[in-house]
Amino acid sequence: MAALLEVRGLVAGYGGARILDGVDLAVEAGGITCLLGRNGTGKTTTLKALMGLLPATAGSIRLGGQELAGLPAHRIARAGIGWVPQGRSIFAGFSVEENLVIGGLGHGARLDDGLLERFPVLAERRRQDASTLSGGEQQQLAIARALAGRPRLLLLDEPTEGIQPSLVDRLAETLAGIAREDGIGLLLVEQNLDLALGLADRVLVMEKGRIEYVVEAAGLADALPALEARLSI
Amino acid sequence: MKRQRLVQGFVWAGLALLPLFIGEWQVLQLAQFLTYGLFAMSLALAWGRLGLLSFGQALFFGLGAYAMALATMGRLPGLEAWPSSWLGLALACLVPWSVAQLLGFFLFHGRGLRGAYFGITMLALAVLAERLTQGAGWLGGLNGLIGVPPLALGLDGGGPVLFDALPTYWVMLGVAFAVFVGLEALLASSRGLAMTAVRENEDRLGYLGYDVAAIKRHGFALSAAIAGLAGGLFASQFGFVSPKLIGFGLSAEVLIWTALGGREMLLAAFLGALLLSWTETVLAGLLGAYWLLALAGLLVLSVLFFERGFVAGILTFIAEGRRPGRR
Amino acid sequence: MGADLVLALLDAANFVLAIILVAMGLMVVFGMMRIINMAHGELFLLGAYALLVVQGLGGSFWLALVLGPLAVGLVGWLLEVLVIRHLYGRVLDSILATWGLSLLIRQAVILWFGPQSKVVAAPFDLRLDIMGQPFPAYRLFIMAVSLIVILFCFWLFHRTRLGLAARATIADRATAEAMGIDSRGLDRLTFAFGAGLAGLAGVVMAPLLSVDPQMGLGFLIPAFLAILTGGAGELMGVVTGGVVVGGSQSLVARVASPAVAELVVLGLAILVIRLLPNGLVGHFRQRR
Repeated sequence: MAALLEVRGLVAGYGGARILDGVDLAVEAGGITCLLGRNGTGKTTTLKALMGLLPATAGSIRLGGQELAGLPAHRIARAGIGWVPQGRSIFAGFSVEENLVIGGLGHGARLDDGLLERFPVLAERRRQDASTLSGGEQQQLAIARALAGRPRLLLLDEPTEGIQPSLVDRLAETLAGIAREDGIGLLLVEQNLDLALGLADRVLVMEKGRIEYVVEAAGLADALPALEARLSI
Repeated sequence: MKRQRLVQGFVWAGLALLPLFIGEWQVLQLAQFLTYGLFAMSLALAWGRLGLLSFGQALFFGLGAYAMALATMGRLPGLEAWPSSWLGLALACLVPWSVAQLLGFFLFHGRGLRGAYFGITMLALAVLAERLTQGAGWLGGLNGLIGVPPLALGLDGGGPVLFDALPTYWVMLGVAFAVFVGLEALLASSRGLAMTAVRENEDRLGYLGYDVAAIKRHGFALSAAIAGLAGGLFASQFGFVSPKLIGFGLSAEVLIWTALGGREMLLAAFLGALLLSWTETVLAGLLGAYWLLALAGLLVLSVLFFERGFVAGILTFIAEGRRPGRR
Repeated sequence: MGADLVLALLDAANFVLAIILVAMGLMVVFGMMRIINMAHGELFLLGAYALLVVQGLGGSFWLALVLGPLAVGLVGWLLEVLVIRHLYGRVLDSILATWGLSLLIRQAVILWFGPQSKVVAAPFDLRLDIMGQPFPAYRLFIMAVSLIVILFCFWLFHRTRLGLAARATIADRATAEAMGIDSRGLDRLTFAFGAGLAGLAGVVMAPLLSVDPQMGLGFLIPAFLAILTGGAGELMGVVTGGVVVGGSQSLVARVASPAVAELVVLGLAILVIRLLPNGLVGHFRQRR
């Protein structure tokens, strides 16, 4: 089966600094791939380069066979990639509902009620200023906003960062549901190893701008010591 | 740095010798353009160094010119009997300096007026000053004041008069050179460094405990005084002041001279004014209204692709043997 | 006394609405793109000359009212593609370059049409009787156009999906792009829209003014002062500033001379900036 997202030899950086040095990875439809690695190895940069927020200087990004490398961010978004950025970046000063509408704007999508049913908290607060939501609610909003564009692939940068532990499991359930029920591929950058291992069906470890280690779900238990060794500081 | 000084020396020496090779009428015209050059240096100081894009710099040039005219024509109340050129020169510097200090007090303190707002306020002031001058009978209204006497060396307006072409030229060049040397020394000092720092990052300078507003105000006032001096010298040479000297048109011209010459290099701005004014007299008859069209087009292009200015680029190339890098 | 007062207020309202009409496009471009468009006055000028050309070719005022804004909007679109897009985030350079454009356009108009002023005809020459005093109906028409433009802009930015996309882009450009919003397209559209508004103002105001190459500057300055006084960054600011600047200028001009009124307004604007720096200047940030 061909993967939904196939990345080959992706190179990108800021100014003269080459942060990504030939990244290869793949995400299947309905699959959850988790990107791990120490700080500064290029995880966030990988997501930004995939999203087109940072120009890729070499390599190929194919989504369902369509080449996306070199396209502007909005074209990549419209091709079917949803964006849940680090720190959530919800639009402050806009209502919850406006945030969700913005998520669908570029895709010509109207806000549908199914989305609000999945996130009842957001339905309750749809008229409220989005910046008044709690951290966990804002994270739900960021995910729902990305889903409003009906993506085939979701890029999530540390979705559990700054969220109280009791809510992390709920968030994991939501993410698993998005992948299994809607068949959306998830590429997730995470610091939380437990969450990553519990959720992912493939784990990638980044080192110095490259994917150095790949573990498939079946082998996760055996690979745990090796993983921990690679991630320890 | 040494080669840069050498290039500067050659430029000034060349300018000093130039009148020996050209006709008297051309010398007189160049002498007038030297005051434009001085004017352009004042803008290079405010804009290139302090980052104050003054769209109404002619306000100060015009104030200087009118101060000179009123003083030497004996039109100042109480000072009618003392039409001294020295008094005129002093007022030509002092009046714009005070106005700039006052403006600076209003525009730079507090969070202050930055960038565009400052430029627009200056533009509005110059346009308004031109209109007010047109309506002021004391200042000759629309016709201006005709018969401003040339510079006289006596304290009371008597004594030898600066009238012949060569002396006039050399005196103007001497003043321009003195101002240039003084400003270069200032800019190389710690005060000058603080000015450049204002342009680069005024917030950070503020955090470091500098009184940014005061640095801007004093720098702006100095720039205004130099513009006023240029205006005063211009008036005494030209013999005639009119509302055109204070308003939008001249403000636009000096901005173009400075931008195309090089806003960050005093000498480049100075030469820009000289070269463009000279080219205009040669080509204006030929090109007519197309001249300003071409200048405006060049200005846009230089902002987009060559912000440092053309003369500055050439001077840097000669001094360093390479193209100047972008800041 | 009563009639004088009503007429004075009507004059003031007329001037206020005229300034807001001119300032609106300026404000939209600044709020959206952080570009101070010094060539706005010349786009206004082009609108006025568009009316001149259309009438010269035998077309009606109403045809010019449609064609003028479209033509000037097209000019704005070209300017964005050729010049403005290089200037984002470079505030001082953007003022200088647009100011260069203003000289360029003005000089081109002089070359094409000559420096002398021209007269264009108003579409109707009706005079209304207001408390015994004659008042040209055309000035009421201008006021109506301005009100429509104000309401239209509020509707566009706060009630439509396009406006929401524009506001999202202002708030967070990168995230908006990642949501699929074409921010570059919005830039072009916004600048063209701002230019089109200037063109509309030019067409509508031309019959009351002498149409000459310098007319842009005369309206640019009060428009800028209105934005500056009202507070840059939102539509309400330009409306507020327009009322303050236009109202005081019109009323002072009635008791003193127009030049004195301008002096008073400029002084007032400078004072407002000095005393209320947060409300007015705080918005001035560089984009990106």
